[in-house]
Amino acid sequence: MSRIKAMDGNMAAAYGAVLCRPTVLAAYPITPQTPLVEYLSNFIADGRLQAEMVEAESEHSVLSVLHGACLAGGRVFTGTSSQGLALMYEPYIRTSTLRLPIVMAIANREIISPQSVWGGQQDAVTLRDAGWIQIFCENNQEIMDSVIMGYRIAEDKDILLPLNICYDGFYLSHMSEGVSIPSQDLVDRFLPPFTIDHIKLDPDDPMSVDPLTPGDLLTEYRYKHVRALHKAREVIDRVDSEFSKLFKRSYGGQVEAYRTADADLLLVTMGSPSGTAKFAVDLAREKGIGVGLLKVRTLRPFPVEKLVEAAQGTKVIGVIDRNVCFGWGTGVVFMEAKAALGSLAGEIRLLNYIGGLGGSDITVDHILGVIREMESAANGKEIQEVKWLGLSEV
Amino acid sequence: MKTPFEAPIGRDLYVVKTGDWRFQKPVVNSEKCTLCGICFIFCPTNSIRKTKNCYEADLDTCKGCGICANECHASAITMEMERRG
Repeated sequence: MSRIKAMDGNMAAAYGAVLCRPTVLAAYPITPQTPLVEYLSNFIADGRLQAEMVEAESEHSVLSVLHGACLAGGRVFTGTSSQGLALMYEPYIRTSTLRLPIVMAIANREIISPQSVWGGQQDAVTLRDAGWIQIFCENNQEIMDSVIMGYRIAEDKDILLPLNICYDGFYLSHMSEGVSIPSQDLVDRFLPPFTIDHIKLDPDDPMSVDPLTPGDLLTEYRYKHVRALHKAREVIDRVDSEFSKLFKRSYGGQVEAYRTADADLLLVTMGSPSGTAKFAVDLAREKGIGVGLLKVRTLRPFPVEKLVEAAQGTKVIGVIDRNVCFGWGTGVVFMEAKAALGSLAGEIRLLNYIGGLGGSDITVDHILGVIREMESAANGKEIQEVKWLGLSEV
Repeated sequence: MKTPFEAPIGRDLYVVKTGDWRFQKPVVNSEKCTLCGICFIFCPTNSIRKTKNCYEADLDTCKGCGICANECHASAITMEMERRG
């Protein structure tokens, strides 16, 4: 039997992990992920989770400990934020190149400087090319469900890649809402026990892990890694549809389309602003504006085909980013979308709105303003390509 | 594809044939060799193998650094230039 409980995003992530029966956890507390570590420790102290919790001396050690545990056949879990993720940089990359199916929550926080503990997706998006799968969530229910689906995707024998469950710091990590907790029995039916055989630490079958690798073999491993990340697209969609059959909830896999069927204007969001955007879409629809929303769930692998499909028949696409892409002067999702829609350039006008940085709000009014501008652009008005919400001078 | 593996693993330590780097090789004069084993101790790639009456380098891994020849008290080892494709 499932039950509903009020919980914040960190607790949703912890519940999701506990239901997946991890055997080893390691964590180092950092705002806004800290409550996640407390919740996990409580689950162990209460005897509800039979797992070893390693309180490591740094995030670098956290992920390194989990490498060993995963190589020895353990299902492992951790979470971090911002500078913690930055300190993980070196083992973070080795996690994906060793093809270890580790699931890690990221409570998204600005990368400092400027000094800030508040929300922003700059931490995770900066590491988008480190070979992990990165899934961004809209609400706390999606966080819990994505952790459960995450293990299925990561441990798929065709994929074998680590996976981040990203959720906006404070907006989701610390805000409570009703979340339905599925029964252990249901999760056990969905997620089989973990076994590792492609790379492992086993005295009965010794192998050297990550030996000095010459260029021709390195090229081959890179190719296989890239191919697995590419194939993850269909696995992510398939796992979502299998999940929805058992749990009666669906998130669309790589993307969630909201009122896009007959839309002239297409909003694109990633993470918590998606909920606000759906509300704004409903308000605009009441006024007869043909706007829909495409919520990007997987920044990696980027849902190229899904975006092209959703863009067909639209006139203007407005991408809202809670991050920046240094060097392009845009947001990251916008830059990715522009690359994905290259073949449609000229037919569709692309606009970018950067906001919600350092914990600032992206409000319904902001998004209604974005929709009005998209409407003007559809009517032929020249609109600046990139705008910063809340920065009046630009 | 050259490897059946998905991730970088090896069944033994020397995945790289460091012998490919060599432009000179150690040649041991078995008559001079006193079997003291100092070449074996100093070899950085653990390439020296003991044979019946002297020591020899495994040319798959010998990088041709010349340390063995330098250390040999009996001057039994000389480095010979190699021409390789």
